[in-house]
Amino acid sequence: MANVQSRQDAIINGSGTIGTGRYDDVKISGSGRILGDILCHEVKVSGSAKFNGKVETEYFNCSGSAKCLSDVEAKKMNVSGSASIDGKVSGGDVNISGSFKTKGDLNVQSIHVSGSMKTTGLVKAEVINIKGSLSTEKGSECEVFTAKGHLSMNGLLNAENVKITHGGYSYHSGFSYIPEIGGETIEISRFDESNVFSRLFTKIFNNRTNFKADVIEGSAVKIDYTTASVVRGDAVTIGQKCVIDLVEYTEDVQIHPSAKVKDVKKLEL
Amino acid sequence: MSEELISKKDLLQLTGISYGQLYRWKRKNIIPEEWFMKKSSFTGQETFFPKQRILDRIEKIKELKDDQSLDDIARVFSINKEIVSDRGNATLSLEQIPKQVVQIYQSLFPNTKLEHLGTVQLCSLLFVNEWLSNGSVTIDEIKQFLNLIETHKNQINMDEATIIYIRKFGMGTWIIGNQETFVDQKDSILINVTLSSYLDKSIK
Repeated sequence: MANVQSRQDAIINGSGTIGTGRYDDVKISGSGRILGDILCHEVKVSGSAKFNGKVETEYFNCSGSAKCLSDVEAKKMNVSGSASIDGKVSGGDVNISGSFKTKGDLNVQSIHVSGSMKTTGLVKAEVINIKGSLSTEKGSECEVFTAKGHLSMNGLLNAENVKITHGGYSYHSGFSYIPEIGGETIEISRFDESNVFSRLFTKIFNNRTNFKADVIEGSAVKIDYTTASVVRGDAVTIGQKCVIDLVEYTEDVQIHPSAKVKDVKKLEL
Repeated sequence: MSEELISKKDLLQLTGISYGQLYRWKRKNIIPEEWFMKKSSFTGQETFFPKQRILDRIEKIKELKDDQSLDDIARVFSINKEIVSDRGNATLSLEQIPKQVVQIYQSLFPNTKLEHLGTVQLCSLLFVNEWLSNGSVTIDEIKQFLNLIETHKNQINMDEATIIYIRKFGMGTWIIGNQETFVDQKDSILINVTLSSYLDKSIK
């Protein structure tokens, strides 16, 4: 049963299709297909929906499953179910507590992930906050990057402030790896040992691994439990259990006794 | 055409900027992505830059950054992305183009309104001025060049375009290429410059 009227609500409770056009609210609680480009105030998917065209909306809410074959532009995006977007994503705030997959680039204000996010494009935002897992094929750019959980990137992470707290458990999706990290302040640490759960986890999975990177460059770099080939910075602090091939610094360096550093160079300005 | 390169490390030492600044500028697109060139070296991979261009660019950013926000600076450097014949373009104006060159242009394209000239065209006029006044090329050759620019003005990418002029046995030919255009070195390359260098000259 579909109720389609131009510039009015389009609601599907059951199964149906919605055509190209402008709507107020688009609500799908059964299974729906949107045939072309739509421009609307709000999209709400609590069943399953497939968008064949572009979606331009103020609010995009998905607590069911949504698949978009083209670009999505939304001022606010909430995914608590699963969403997969083949085109580009642009707009304001993106909140993911379920699963989110994109093939195109993301260019938004902020991204909060407490579930899992996977993209084959480039991620650009002011703020990126990860509390689950993030995997990007090209890398990401932002001002503030905070992550607690699993990270996998295949490009440069370029951010003003980078703060990564990694679990170091290699049992599930492998270790966290980012080839290049660049920015002003970079801090990489491991989950706090004082936490009862993480202590229990450490006991069960004894083989905790380091965070892995190839190159880390920043003005102030502070890392723990990290394996990297090169770390460069003005002030560099190499913490516990780090394994680094080369450290280059200009002002200050501190190396923890349990860290393995092959070579340290001071660069003269 | 091989351009001298500079490694990231040397660049930071030479200019005294920090890693944080370099990455910030890259994020804001003040330094184009294409200038970050990955090359393998003895420490694994290192990033290199086209030396002269990056030094000029950083010098200019340093000059501007005290009294302009990074977003404003980014706008200055991304003029090339604006649509040709953007009249609000303040950085390069018709007044900066010498009169004799404008006259040549007008004689070729009497129908074009001068105030509709885009950045690409204004830069090529500055180019024309330089090479005509140092006597390297003739008026006829310049007319050929202006025709070429006029035909492709909408396809030319300001940041990448290089102008090459080859003369062999008295016959000349113009090429508008990018950084990856290769020319047989036995041909006598008379001119080989980037179009954007004229943009930089005019800002100063």
